[in-house]
Amino acid sequence: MFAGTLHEEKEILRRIKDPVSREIGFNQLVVAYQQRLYWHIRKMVIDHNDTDDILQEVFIKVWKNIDKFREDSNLFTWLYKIATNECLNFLKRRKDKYKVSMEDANKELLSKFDNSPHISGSAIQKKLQKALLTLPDKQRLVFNMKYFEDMKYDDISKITETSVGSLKASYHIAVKKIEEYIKLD
Amino acid sequence: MKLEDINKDNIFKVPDNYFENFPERLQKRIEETEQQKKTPVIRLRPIINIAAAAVILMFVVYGITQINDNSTSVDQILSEISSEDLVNYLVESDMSTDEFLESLDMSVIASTEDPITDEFIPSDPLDEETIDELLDEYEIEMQYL
Repeated sequence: MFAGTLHEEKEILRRIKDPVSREIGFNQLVVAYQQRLYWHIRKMVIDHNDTDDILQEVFIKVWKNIDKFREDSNLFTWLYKIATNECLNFLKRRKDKYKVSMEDANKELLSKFDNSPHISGSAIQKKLQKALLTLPDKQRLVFNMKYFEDMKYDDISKITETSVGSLKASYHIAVKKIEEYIKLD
Repeated sequence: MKLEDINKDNIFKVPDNYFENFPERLQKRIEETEQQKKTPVIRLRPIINIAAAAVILMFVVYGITQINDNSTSVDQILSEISSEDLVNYLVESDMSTDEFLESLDMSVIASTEDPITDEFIPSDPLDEETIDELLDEYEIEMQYL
């Protein structure tokens, strides 16, 4: 599931820790992980420009905090965790700023989905995305990671700091809600 | 129709050459962020902290005078010190904001039941991110002054 092999991760980290090759190493990290992180964020915030802003923030945080990264943990899990937190914070800030409910906030995302020039796909694929926008953010996040990104519950558990049991329940509820939505005309 | 019947292909698209250009744009953004750290605007930070501490002190002194029957001496001291002098003193002294705040006798304040004290002492310290956001907002305003 990870973008880079363990060997590549170690090599990137070795370069980043060495002041001489720090920038080269960081650039390699960005190139290796930007796409996976981009799509993870994009599915949550829908809009390309918002995704671009968040992705930059994620990598700036990585740049500032890379020295705190413990090498016994997995680099991609750590990156994913930062990206996930940034996404959820972004969605929460937006709700707080406009003082809107989850339903209203998701309607805004739906409107972005309908008006974005950067979305294609069949009618049923779009309907699936719209079904996802009826779910709470964290449920949507779990669904995306399990269904679209094919991640293991153990990895999702590390990223979201939620038990595997809760994740399975959350995913099961999400699938039920989505299938009901898809049945609607 | 079941979920598994739907094609899982990604339907979201990115502008042309987005991923090719992203690392370079990010690099520029990081350089800008690091340069900002060296600008005079950022060096205002300690002064802002001290000014904020001075304002807190004013409120604390005011709070104490509200609850203290024998407050004549505090009133006198307060009337003799302008807030400007107080800020100047703090700027010129070597005392850091933390030391300054620690030097206040918080136990006296905490022991009162006057709600005014609760109002000015946050129960949860702001986290670093929130402070950065607030300072960032402030710096933007500073540029327009």
